Amino acid sequence: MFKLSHYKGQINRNLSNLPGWRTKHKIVVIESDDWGSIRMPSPDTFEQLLIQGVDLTRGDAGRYNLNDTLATSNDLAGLFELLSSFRDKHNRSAIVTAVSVIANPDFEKIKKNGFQEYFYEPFTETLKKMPGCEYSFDLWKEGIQNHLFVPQFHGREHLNIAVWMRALQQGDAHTLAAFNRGCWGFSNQHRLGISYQAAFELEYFSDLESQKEIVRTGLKLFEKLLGYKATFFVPPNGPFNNELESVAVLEGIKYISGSKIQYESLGEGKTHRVFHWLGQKNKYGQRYITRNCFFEPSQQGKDWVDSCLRDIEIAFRWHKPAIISSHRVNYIGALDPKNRVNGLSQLAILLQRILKKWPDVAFMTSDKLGDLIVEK
Amino acid sequence: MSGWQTNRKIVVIESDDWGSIRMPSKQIYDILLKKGIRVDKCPYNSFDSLESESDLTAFYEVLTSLRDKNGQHPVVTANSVVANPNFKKIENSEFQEFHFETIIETHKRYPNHSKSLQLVQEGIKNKIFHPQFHGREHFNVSRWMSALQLQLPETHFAFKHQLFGLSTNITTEKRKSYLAALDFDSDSDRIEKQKILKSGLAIFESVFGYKSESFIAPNYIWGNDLLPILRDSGVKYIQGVRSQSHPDFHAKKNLSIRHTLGERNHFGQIYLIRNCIFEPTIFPQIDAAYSCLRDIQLAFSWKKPAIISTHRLNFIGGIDEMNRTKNLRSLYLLLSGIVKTWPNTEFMTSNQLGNLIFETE
Repeated sequence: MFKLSHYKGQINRNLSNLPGWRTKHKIVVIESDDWGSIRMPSPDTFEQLLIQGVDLTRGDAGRYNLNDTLATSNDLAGLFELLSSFRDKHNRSAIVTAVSVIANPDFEKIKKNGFQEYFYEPFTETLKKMPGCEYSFDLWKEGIQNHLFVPQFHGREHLNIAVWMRALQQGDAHTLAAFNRGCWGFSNQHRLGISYQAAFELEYFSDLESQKEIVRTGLKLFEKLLGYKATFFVPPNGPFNNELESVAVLEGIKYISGSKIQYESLGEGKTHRVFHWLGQKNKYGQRYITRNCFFEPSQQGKDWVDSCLRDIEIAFRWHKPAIISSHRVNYIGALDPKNRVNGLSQLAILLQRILKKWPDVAFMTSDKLGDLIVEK
Repeated sequence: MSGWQTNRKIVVIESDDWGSIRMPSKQIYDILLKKGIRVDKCPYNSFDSLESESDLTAFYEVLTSLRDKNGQHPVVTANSVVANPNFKKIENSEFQEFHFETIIETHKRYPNHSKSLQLVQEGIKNKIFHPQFHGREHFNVSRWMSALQLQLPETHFAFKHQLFGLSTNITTEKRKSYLAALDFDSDSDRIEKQKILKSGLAIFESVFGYKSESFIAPNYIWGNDLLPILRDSGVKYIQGVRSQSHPDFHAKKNLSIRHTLGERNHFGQIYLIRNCIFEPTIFPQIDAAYSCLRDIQLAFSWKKPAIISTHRLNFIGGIDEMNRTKNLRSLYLLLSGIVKTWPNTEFMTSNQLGNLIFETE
């Protein structure tokens, strides 16, 4: 049956791959966001908040609140085992660029201060408190060492601190209910529709200064905890103000992930449209890396292996690297073991089919891809 | 199209609203009409009433006249509410307090109804009538009570005549639906609905002698905060249509959430989705039996069980006996058409289907 929308989608996907840096090599990058962030602490928290009427299941938020949480040792071990079993022509294993936040709110301290001041803790401290995650950080280090899991910067927290703190100070019932159970990632109400998850969306332009400080301290903490400087930055949820790039560059960020059409956040709901393409340089000499493939098997109702393979095919057709977006949520079984089984088994099929279809493929991290773009 | 599939020819008949009073009698219907309230414009207000002994007897006669290949009669999953307003007590409190009576008391109050619940028990025993939980009442307690307190004239007039269910499309009052029992308008209202649901589930068990394993929300409107409460009471299957209307009092309209047959939620509950319609009273211009047979054919062609939606109002003769007579004839045509067209038909309750999906997945 002829379906216009199908062809439109195909044409758009082809067109969006036209501009920007090209390569004759078949490069596959897997970018996975959200590592290090709490999202949903436990199934019990989900249930209690649901009973309190907190909106946890709206749209795509449902799969995150049902499945997304700090990766346990089991989650990480399962992912690493799978990645190491797939090797490219250079005998390099499949590798995930783990786009990570480096801190979470220190709920206790914030509460003690009557919600007047914000405090955070390094994510390594959060891990120690979560059952099953006590040894997770050892696995992070192992993943880095074995070149399977390379963390890069997603922000200090996956949280819009200014917006969240104002809601807590105003006594917003659902925000407080979630706070009391150690989380914030529900579909919150906001006059401008700003999600607490969108760390760098500006409610007021004046919030920008504190955001700069967040980027600065976040990148310093990243280096302290992981032993190397982050060079790649993926702002959570997309929205951010480009002035943050000036801070990021001073702390070592060379590559920034951007949507092809960015709506730069200007405060008070105002935005400015900016176009990006792969390899595009900003005024600080930083390069943009744009995603062109999607793999979200925890989202129901789609054959993600097939659709991702189609995305990759289009990317290679236009001599682009395949940059796959695939969030942490797909690989977590701590809240529902079935979710991890599903995510990992589909990832295995995807990698198998990639290697079969394009035997000369090379697995790479985002920062190495950035280096390659700069070299050429 | 999407969701659980089977090669078996399974027919489930789901019928909502049992136990609720709706229009108490023909006499009251006439009084309301005379007052200028256009009850004649709404099929529920024109035909739906508490099931009487003769309604159940006539209904059973049709059901027992047929059998599937396993010797099973057509069985109706009768989704029932378990309480109605206690008008006297509410009035005595000058509309400040809400009081309900269980359907045991309501049936006692109504003429020609005192043995209805006994007949229901017989229907359960003979596997032709299987009550499941449809809520405590089929009306929104907080909305109705605040309308009574605000003295909305038509609501008050109806109250005087022992009814609550004036549809929004026939009242001149600008208000939200009373029938959507679990819709909520504020956070405290939401918690109120949780309490109502909990007490309703307990009453269901005491009235029918077993826990309800499935649930269907009045008007297909319910919040997901009710799911763990339902699970704690033993509800494993959620009946419904393709879209759940999820209350969202912050927004202008409720949130629509799509479900597929066999889908499981976080609480392990399985969704059952209706895909066939037999509603001769609501759609009198359609040949209900013929059109339902076509729905079933389509369902089977997609390897789906046929889950038929048919509300109680089709089978009630208390207000207009012709309604019952005509529709039971049509029901017989439908059921005999089913067993004739698909000799392998298996009649099942919603729970049996839910259990089958659970076991085969």
